Amino acid sequence: MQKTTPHLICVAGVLTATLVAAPQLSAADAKNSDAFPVFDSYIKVSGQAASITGNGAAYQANTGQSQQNGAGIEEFHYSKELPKDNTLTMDGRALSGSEDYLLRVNLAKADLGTIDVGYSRFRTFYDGVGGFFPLNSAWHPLNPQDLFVDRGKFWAEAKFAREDRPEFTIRYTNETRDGQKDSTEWGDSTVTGIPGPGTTDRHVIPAYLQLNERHQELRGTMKHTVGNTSFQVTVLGDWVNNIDQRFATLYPGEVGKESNVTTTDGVDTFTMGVMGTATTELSPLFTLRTGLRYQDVDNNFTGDRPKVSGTGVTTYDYFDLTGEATARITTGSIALDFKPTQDFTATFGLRGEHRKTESTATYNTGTPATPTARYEYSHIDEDALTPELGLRYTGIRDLALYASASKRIVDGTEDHTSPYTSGALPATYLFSTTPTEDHADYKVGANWRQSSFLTLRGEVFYKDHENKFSGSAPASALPPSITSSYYLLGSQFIGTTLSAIVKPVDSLTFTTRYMHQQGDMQVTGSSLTETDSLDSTTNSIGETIDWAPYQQLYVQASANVVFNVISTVYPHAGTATADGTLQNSNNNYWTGMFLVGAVLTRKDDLQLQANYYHAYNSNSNLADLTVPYGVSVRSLTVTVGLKHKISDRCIASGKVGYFDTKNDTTGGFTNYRGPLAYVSLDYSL
Amino acid sequence: MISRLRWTKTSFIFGGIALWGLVLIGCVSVNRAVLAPAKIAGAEYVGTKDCAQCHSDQTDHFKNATHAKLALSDPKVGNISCEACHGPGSLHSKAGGGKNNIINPKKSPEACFTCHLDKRGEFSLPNSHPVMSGHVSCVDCHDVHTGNAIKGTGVALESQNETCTNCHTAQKGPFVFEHGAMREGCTACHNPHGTINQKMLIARDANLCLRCHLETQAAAGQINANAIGKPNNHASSRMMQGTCWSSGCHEAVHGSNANNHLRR
Repeated sequence: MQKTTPHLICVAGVLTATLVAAPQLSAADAKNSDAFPVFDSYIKVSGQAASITGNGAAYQANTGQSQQNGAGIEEFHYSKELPKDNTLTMDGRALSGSEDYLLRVNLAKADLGTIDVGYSRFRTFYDGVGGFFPLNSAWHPLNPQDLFVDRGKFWAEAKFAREDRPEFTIRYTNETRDGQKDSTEWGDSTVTGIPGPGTTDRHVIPAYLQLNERHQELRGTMKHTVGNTSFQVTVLGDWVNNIDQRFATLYPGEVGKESNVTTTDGVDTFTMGVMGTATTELSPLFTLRTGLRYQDVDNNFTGDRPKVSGTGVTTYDYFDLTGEATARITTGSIALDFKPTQDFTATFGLRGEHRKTESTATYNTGTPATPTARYEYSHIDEDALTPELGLRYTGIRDLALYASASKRIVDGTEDHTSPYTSGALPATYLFSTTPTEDHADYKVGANWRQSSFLTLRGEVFYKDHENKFSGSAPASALPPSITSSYYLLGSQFIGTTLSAIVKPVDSLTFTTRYMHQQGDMQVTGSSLTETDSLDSTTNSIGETIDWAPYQQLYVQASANVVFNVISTVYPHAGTATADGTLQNSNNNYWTGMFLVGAVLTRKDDLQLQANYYHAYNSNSNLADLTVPYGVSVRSLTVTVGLKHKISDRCIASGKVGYFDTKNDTTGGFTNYRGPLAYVSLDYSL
Repeated sequence: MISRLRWTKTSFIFGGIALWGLVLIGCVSVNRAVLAPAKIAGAEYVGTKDCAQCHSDQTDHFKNATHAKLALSDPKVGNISCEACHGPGSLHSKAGGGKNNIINPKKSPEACFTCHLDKRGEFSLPNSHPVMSGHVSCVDCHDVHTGNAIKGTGVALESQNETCTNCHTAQKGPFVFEHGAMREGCTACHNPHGTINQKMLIARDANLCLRCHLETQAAAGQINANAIGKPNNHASSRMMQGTCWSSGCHEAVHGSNANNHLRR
């Protein structure tokens, strides 16, 4: 320590001298004459690699990068003016590894319209890490762990837009999701090391989803302005075709007990929708906004859930599920903006919605040889009304005040097959519920620019929601005891957001944002007096410091610290079996980012970056009893990058770095670390 | 003998001095601006009127936008205008448009993070929408140019859940048996910006469900959960081990077509 002190003093001196001297020197010429060129049309090729020590699947899931590395065209942009006021624009991307692709062609003609056609696709990674049991260090990952889903999107759009004429747009999109992703349905097997009956026998271990989804939409829009009214009409058809499967293995690796459960959900949904909105400037004081929408949703579904034992015997939770669920939704809204003075605006709005759904499903239980038919039914008919008031006042110098209040009042009826229903004759078993909602939301806020030095912003919101269900069933319902029911859920959330922007000098800005949220919920039941069911608290503080002492240097530091606890009544009111075993949910973490950019030479820029993430929620009380759900992770990535101008048409970039992630939630089985490298070449076309 | 590089305090100090020296030389000899993300070198503020000349479809309805509420009466002082998010527009305006001379928050979230600091932290978490990589943008879910920034709230014609089900079609329904939590919206259980838990859940354990499904003794006719009162169902032991949906019971948390207890 003694040896380094003189060095530190020396360094501090150099830094200080530099800080004083450099602005004087660099201020001589402020024309940015050495600026790197900005390309109008260009192609950027790049490649990146990481040498991973540890769990590659976790690396992929957390970074979004393939452990197989990758290279290709990171960005391509081409723009060209064509004869007769036409402009052609093309964008592209083709990165292997992350399987990130884009091709977009846009042709625009002045005062006529545009044609836009494209296809994009990217990959998201998941890790089937499963649960970890500290007692015997049992870990149940999926095999393979490295899962991914490819998301593709094709679109074609034609817009006809001539001045003072109606604007027509027709757009078709086709989105797909294919691949495998992890599921949160994981936990344990009997091989957990946890003693005692019941605790070792939960029968569920990691599952994954196989997605095969397609979503198409054809949308036509017309926009126009007539006099003081501008309006828009949209007609759309929407098709969803999904066949998703969930694969779960019970008792993995346990002889005589292992079995596989596959749940298949097939969905074919067609939605037809019509929507119209209009805005009319009634006078300088009043603006009227109206809207109307109708949706007709028809959902046909199929499914089954077989369980295959290790010896090949198949049983079913259900099979041959078929059914149809329909929804007819009509929504209307009207809002009036009132501006009596330049500084005051009031908005009165009202939204009404009628929703009616009708759903039936049939399926079998037992076996195909001896099936037992089941029938399910539901019908919902409800109305929702949402009045809204908004106020805004700017009559005080450098101060903006605003407030809003809205209610959502729902009243309706629900009929559905009763709980524990076992069969045919749905009318006999119908269970009727009267659902009502009473939601109130309030918000007030202010934006005050005290001076060029200080800006303060604040906002407070309060939500008071109540959801109530009163039910009844005929005496013939199964079980007979269920003839009436009552459930009331109340919730109150209050939150505050405070922001401060402090700018002591032009080159230095401190931005602080503090958020506090408090939530409470209560449940009242048929035989339960009102009881608190939730007490949650969130405190979050974020800070960003931007410092640019010279135009050749910037420093940006950012940190976000979050304290969150979700407490329910369970840990305090459970039976002897449950006491102390379910703890509060703690979700505390902090993230940090440090970024420095600097000019090194006439042709070189330097960038240093560090990212840090730390969650610390491990709970020793749970470790001996179950999967330790509390997330405890520490992750750091540091990179050094250099950008070099090769010529006026070519810029090269390179970056090297190191990453290190330690995950205690999974007992260290998903740790990973290693060096990374990235290079790119940006070339003007 | 193999010579190995040794990283000592001294090498760090002198390496740092050397690096700083390079920066110093760069500052003195090079006239080029480097800027933190979401800034444009050499551009100046020109005002909203310039933007409206070409982008009237955005500016015409901005007065009803959530962000417009923050705007001060004096447009010259700290106004919330186009350039507050898109950066100074002089170069873009002078060029008659362009891609690299204006900030497009749809391409990069940095402009949004300038005020929404907490969202930078949330999107940096492993369980978050891929906003940092550019595959999803803030404006995919937020309407910043008109109406409420949170789509589907207030008197908007669309529902809030449609923002999510537009991509997550498997959760769209309608289902024979809906989960009442959907009345409060997808955000009742998920934080779409990101959480430390898988699937962006705000809690990974049974507390997620117990907020609404308070455990009580079994009683005739009650709708809410009553697992503790039914030890024969192993519900209490299963619950203490994990969660309500993880245990192979109430798997259809978004809605079921086969079971009104949201079992598969």
